[in-house]
Amino acid sequence: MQDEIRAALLLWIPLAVASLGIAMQFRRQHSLQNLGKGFLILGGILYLASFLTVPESPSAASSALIIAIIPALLLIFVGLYIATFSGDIPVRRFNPKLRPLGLLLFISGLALLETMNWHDEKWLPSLLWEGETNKYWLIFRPTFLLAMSSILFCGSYVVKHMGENRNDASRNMFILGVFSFGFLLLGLYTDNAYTTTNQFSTSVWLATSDLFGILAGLGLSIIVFTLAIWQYERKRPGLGNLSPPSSEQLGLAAEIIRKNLGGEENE
Amino acid sequence: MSETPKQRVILIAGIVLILPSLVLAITSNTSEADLSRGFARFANAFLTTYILTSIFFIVNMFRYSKSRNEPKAPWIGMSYAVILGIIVSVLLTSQGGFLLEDNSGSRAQILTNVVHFIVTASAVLAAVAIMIFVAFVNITSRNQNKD
Repeated sequence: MQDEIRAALLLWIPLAVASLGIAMQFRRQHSLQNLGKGFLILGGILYLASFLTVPESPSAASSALIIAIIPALLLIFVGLYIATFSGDIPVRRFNPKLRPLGLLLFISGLALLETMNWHDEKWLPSLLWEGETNKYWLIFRPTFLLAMSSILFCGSYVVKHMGENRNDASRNMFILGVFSFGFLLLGLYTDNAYTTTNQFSTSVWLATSDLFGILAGLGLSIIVFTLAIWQYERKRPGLGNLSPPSSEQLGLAAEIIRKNLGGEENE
Repeated sequence: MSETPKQRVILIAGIVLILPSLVLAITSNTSEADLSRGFARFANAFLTTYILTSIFFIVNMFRYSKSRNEPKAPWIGMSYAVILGIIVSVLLTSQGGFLLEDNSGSRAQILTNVVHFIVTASAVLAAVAIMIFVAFVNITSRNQNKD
């Protein structure tokens, strides 16, 4: 009972506080948004520290995993951020010379994530929990690889069809998707530092079930709320029934357009 | 060959679903997991996602009700979500205790599902974010290389 109370105070309540903080970001008032940020930071820190504060709780293994993969994820996203914002875009934030560095960080991050899985070295973040492979790593890795390959293949198709001269971008995304899928297949046929092929194939099988479950749950809730909104929207008058804009409304619209487009007065 | 937007959506949905199906087919031959374990995971993921996304949509329905001046909208949405949620939960839980996976009780299973969802959602969100960034990195580099 004592352990349960400790887990509630140091893991579950912080998690609820962090979720409340996220929900408060959707409020319009800045004061509530700032309070939400405080909740998110406080709840997040307490949750991430739960593997130290309540190691007896099985769920604390998830925070140990998140801490272990943070360096790799930081490398990936910092690298991609630098590479994106050093490109030829109006909101460029970095010198174009930093672009190769960004790509190098991205590749290093992916390499670190994979090295952690294939080698159990002292200098690498540990994926062990209570002497065994962290069970949440067996959830994270197959889901990540499976989602990444699916999403990159889709993205490759979408990028190619939603603009001109996007073949290079589409090809690179496809190649990355193939790599991701390749690592997944490699794990199914080769033992690594933390899992046997049987364990990995079981976890991939469960990750696949998980992804289908998530897609189905998301789909059903979207359908339910679409129905609720449709019920109200169908009763609203159509655009054809609206009265034409008055001269005052037209003047206001012209003023807004003029302010946003700029240009000479006589144009 | 030009494709209509509807065909494209079907194709994209197909790619998203085909890959997990392919992996499912490959791993079902080598994995030790039986069908009931996979179905239990599917059902738990389904219920958890449904409940969490419904909560998110209900919060948004309050905003919708304000903007459209429809005060009953969130309550109607909530009623639909709860009715359907109860039906699905009854259908799934009436099959015995298979939803419990490795846990001894339903409370432990609910808490496990929440943490499981956080880890799975983190993996999916990381994958989505990587895809978006990689697309932008490649698109912006094309213009740069042209100069």
